[in-house]
Amino acid sequence: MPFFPLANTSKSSGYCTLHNYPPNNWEPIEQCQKFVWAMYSDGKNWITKNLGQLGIGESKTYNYSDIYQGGDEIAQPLILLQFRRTPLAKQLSVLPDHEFTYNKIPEWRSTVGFSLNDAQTSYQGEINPFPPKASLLTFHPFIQYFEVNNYFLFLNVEKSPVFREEEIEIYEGNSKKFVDSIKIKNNSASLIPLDAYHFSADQLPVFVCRSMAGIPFGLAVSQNKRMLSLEHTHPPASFAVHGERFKVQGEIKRQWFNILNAEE
Amino acid sequence: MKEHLKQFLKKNIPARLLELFSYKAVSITKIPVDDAVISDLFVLRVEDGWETYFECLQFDSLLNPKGEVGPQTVIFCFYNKGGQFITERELTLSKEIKNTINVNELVKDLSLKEDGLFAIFHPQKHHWISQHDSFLAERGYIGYANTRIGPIKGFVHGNLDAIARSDTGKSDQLLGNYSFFKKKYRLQHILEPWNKYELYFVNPTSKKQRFTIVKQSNQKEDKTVISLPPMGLYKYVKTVDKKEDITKIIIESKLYLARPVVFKIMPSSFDVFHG
Repeated sequence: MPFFPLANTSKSSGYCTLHNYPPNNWEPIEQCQKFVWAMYSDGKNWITKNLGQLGIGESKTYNYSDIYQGGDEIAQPLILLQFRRTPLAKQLSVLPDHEFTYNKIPEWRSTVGFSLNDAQTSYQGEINPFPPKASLLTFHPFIQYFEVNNYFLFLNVEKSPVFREEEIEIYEGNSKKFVDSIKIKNNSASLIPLDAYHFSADQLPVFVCRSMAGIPFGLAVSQNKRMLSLEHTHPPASFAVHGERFKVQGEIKRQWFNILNAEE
Repeated sequence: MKEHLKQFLKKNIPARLLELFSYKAVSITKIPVDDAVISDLFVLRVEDGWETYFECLQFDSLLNPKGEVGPQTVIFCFYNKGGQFITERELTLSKEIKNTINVNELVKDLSLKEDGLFAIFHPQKHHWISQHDSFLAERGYIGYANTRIGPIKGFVHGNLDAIARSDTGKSDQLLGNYSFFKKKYRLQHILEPWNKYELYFVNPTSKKQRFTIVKQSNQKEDKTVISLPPMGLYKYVKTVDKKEDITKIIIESKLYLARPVVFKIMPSSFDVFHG
């Protein structure tokens, strides 16, 4: 059951368009007017805000800066949007349960995007809280050259609002050599600039976090600030279809986690 | 046991029959023969100054990071809008884990004038993933660029898992399932004034499919009806002018998931994403 992420970065402004209509007509979904609530962590509690109603068939865009202002160059709190029937308290110690049934094929999604000047980029997305003991392995093939700045963007949400920081390790995929280690934050959008590492076109940045999972993205910003590009990287399970894909993912992660070592 | 039973049913009974028992039994794609490798059907853009790149990752390295990696051969297959096979190109990759392929360059000699589709087949080796009843699948990433618009590539991955190739199969197998009944897919994205949208539809099934593309704006509906052969491609173009209200797209077809690849062309930039 999804929350809809509204993320922001120091390089581009976040927005999220919610749609109160299901993506298909063959999974039995109740259609009704819904309240939209926003919530973000202040490090101790989830702070909530009622954003009004959305009628059947309506769509509405919510801008990050209308709900929250602050955050730093690297990490900004992730705002979660949720459809609700009932109101929420002003502060919560854990993320609230969902009150509606949503589609599965495909998931009920929002338009999650960033804008800069006249440019926009988006993906069709939703987010669910990650377990606190989960981990991340992802391969990042999106480095662009010539007049483009490259970033790794990492979105995480957990049920608990308590902030914690973990290290994400960066390796080069051919040599398996350690490149750097950067702090990332839960319940936030963390942005890591990549150009300083000078990855060449045949190198593959590999990102490992052994103590936090999330949704990883490549974000590119043209140096003239007139174009943006955004796409999520795949989890290792995506190299396989059918069968026990998550056992495949577990095995790929086990192999890579064993071979990648920041101490060497 | 339950998983094996599900796998058996999915493999042996058409999805549209299983659907008669429960919509929850629907499977978007077929399970191919055991030794198959799977590819998406990716959109090849050549018209209007577009370039198509493919970020090719060495699956051997990804699946066996401790092993020695040698040169790897992958096969690019090209199809025209009508779903007809054009050509196949065998490409030996360097031993590097990532190779960026300019796909337009691969077929430069054919002077293609129209957009089409391509698939990428990795070697049909016996990977350890088959122990888990899984199949190797190439789902991208594809990078699109247009220097007339600007310097950035827009990336998108495939999500059709459309076609399988095997040593034992006589020919490539299209994996898309479809229903007995008409389905609606509602794009959960609004089309905004001033932008031009190009939506690419692919038929990943083995049967000709009829698509009705419904555009809703200003309380009006415009319908475009197309018939796509297997592996066929259709580009739906819509420029939203300033007088139009929020515009929505609904696709009616017998596909369970008729998701297009969407190009959003803004006055000085573009974006690409899948529905």
